[in-house]
Amino acid sequence: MNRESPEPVRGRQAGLAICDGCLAICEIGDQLSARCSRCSGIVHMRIPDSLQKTSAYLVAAAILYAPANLLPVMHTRTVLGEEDDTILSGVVVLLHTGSWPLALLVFFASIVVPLLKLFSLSLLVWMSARRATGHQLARARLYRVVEFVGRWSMLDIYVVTLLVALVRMGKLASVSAGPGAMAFAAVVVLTMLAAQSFDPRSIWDPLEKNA
Amino acid sequence: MAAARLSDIYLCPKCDLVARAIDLHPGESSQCPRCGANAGRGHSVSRGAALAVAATAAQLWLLMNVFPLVTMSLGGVRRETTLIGASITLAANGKEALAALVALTTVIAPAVEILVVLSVLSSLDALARAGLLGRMVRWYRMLWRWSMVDVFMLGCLVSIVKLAHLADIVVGPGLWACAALLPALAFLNAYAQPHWLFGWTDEPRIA
Repeated sequence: MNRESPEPVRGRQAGLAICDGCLAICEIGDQLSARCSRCSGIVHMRIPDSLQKTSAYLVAAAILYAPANLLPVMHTRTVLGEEDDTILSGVVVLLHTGSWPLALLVFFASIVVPLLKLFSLSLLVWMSARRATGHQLARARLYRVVEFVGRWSMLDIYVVTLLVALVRMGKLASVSAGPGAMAFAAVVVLTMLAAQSFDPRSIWDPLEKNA
Repeated sequence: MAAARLSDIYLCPKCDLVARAIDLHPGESSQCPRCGANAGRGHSVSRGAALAVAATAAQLWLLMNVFPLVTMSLGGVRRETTLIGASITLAANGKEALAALVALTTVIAPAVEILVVLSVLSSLDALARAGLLGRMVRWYRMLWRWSMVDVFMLGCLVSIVKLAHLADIVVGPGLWACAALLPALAFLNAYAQPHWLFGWTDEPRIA
């Protein structure tokens, strides 16, 4: 089967659905969902209410994005004074004290990736909702990138966790987690759930005849 | 296409394309001809080798959890933390939900991931006969994306760089085990593909 084939056969037309749990191909005819013969999970022809679920997760993530970046994720108390760090100021501190490649990495994981996820998934949902028939391959690639890089935003949460666990020197120096950390973690989890509830098949569905 | 056997069909989970399944040689990988999604990789290891990697991962997971990750000394005070210890400290700090998320992604998910693959590989045929294999593969595929040892490892490195100019930092055996666990988990993820696992059973292919 080559890419130029004018009328590609699709699982839905053939009454076939692939099980998300164990990748078994199941004959479910024109049912929307059925039980998988191999892992007894539910096989869906399409993820039910995929666009609604994805948008809901995205809206929640977008709302929490503000406190995640404005509120401090980390509070440092030393003999020299107290300091609050947000996600962005943490990157700046790392740039001044650590190495720039590491600062770039953290900037990418904590600032670029969450924004990329919010914008890309919104774009994908919007285009799927209006049944756009262009840029299928580019959208499929974009979704793969979002799926792949999504988990790396957890980086800052782990940094805060370790600093809180290590810097417990009483009056000399101590670090505690700020309110921004919870919001940031929620953004990461919500955008991951958004990516998982998006059905990439909806990118290709509008090309199907009499769908 | 209608009369074809299901085992001869490739159905892309990402774009719903139906195509002819191709037999892959060891080390070969294929992509969906329409959307380019990864469509699988040919067997390159035996079931025994995969089991050995899973057993290695289990031991490294144990070492990673038992030994301290990092030790920090400042003004005569020493502090060290283990993986679970870090979550517990965070919970004691009043951030229980955050601590639970950290524990889930660094301790529980990797543990379940390794245990499922270990038990699947060591008693593949018994599980397949009992009809449990499919269920375990499903659990694995639900959980693996929440296992974030690789991201955590990078987080450790960033923390060390942040602390290095303030205090003396000694990398503990837990972090070395964590570093060694990364490739083991990467191999494990590659081996735990459903078509490999089901391909290793004696059972005739259901689909």
